[in-house]
Amino acid sequence: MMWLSLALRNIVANRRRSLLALAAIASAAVAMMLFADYVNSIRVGLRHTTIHDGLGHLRVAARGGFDAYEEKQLQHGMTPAQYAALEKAADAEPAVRRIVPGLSFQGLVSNGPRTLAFTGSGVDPVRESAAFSASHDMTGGLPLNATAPDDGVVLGTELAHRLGVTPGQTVTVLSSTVSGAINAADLQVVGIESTGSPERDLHLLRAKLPMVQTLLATDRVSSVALLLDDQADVEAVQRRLGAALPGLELRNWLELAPYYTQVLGLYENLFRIFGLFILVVSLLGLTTIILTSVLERSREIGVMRALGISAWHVRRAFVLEGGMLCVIGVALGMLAAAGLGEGINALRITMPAPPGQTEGYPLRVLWDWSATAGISVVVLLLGIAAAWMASGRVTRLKVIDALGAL
Amino acid sequence: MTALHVTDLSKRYRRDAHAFTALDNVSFSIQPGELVALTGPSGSGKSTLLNIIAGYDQADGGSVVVNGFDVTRAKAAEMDTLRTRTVGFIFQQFHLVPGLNALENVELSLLNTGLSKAERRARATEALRRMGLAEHASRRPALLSGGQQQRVAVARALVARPSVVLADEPTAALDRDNAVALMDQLAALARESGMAALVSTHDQRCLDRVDRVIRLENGALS
Repeated sequence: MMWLSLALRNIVANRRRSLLALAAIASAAVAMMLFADYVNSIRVGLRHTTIHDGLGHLRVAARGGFDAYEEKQLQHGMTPAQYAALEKAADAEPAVRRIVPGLSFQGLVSNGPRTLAFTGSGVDPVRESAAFSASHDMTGGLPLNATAPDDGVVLGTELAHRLGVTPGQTVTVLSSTVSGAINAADLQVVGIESTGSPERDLHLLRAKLPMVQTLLATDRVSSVALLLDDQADVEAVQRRLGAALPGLELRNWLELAPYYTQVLGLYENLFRIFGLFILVVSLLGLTTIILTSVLERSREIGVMRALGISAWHVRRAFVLEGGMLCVIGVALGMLAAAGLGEGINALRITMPAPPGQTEGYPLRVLWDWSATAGISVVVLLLGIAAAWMASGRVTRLKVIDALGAL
Repeated sequence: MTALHVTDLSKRYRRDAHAFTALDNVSFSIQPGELVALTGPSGSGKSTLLNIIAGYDQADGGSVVVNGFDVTRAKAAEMDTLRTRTVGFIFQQFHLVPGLNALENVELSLLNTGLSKAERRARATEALRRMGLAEHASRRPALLSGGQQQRVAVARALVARPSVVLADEPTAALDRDNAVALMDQLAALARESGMAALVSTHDQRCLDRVDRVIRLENGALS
């Protein structure tokens, strides 16, 4: 208790030095915590976008539907019987909130003079809008919702631009049926939308599921998205449905969105490198400050050693002081990070568009308790280690030299 | 048993090409309960002798035996124990730890004794009371007068009940009344507890109160 009290009094007595040490530790903590909160915001935002942009928590397809080579469209599509079995099994799962069927197909779209390739999807507008948030911006016309005509089609901005079509005009959509024959349908452009990715917008075409099934002469769907109430249930539901539906394949969103792990990996690596530099710089500062403290208090150390207090005990006192500075510094850093985080969010700063995108994204930070706790522990432990190293001089100091003026 | 036995103690300092003899074959003994003054002009080797006896500095030759323990051949851990239990040291400049109050400064001497916190506190309080400083126990050194600080330093040196007390010019920074009071207290303690005391001084007021005087001149006994 006396050592604790002495450490606290020394911190208070040497205000300027203590403030410098606290500033070094708190700055490191703030920088690392804010970066971690930013990465957390990216993680949560990207996960939400990935799942709620149409992928769902789980995707179900017939065997081979995910990977197998298809000579014909929907060769490995899900039959109505399989879909019905899936609906029945999913209804029995309380964690499953929405079931959204989808059909992917390719073909050509033409306005007469110009013909371009597309990668299209057949959607159930009612189920889709109930399950997924509309992350695409409508740049013209209306979304493909329940009130849209049955032969309505939504085109990507780039595709519409290159075709030179606007909402209200008609385009001809050509595709091969499941038996390999060519079929065509005249569809009415109801809307034009942007995903933020010009590359994706160049091939985007969305039409109602029955319309696409008619075009492809099939009653199958490509896959079915399942949206759950809770992210934590994904693996359990995947396991149970997989066991109940042996003819179907289930993949979760992480398996289907490798870019999520890649993007996060990139940010986490940046965080590690950035954090390492910050830690090294701040701990060098702390080491210097504690070393100065040891030098300034040489006589005090000499007195303690002269009274028979072991070098280890004296050194422990300096480590305690360094540890207390770290605890206070981390606490201050945590408060500052929380305040700055709120400030950054309130400022609504927009980051520049990433490569391949046309729109920027909001700079947001999202408090991450586990990262905050981890950073606090790391800063504290390394701070104590720095104090331990810096106070090594105590053990080498001769009593007669330390007392100096004797 | 002899409290302190110094035999052929020598110490030389070298600076650049010059050598200086601080102690030259010094030998003497002090018995328990004896209060001995160590006198001599400045630079005669008084502080060097005390520092070597306390184990703060190392001799080039000879030996120092305190209560049967050879200080000159002790290991670091043994020296810590010796400083805590056997030898008390009163510094001329008090050397109190500024961040600790009077009671805590005294308690510092007991940290390595294995006593419980309560026992340490009780003994430190009693030591301060004997020095007439009970009411100043919670004051920091900066808030105490020079005389009070020196009495705290004495309490700190004596609280562990050492066999030998070494004092380096303990009255140099004190006025006459405080100097006389301090020497009277040391003499009384030596008589009561059988503690041997070696006090470096050239203050005549101190010499009147000691049992014996040892004089050093140019590092040798005279």
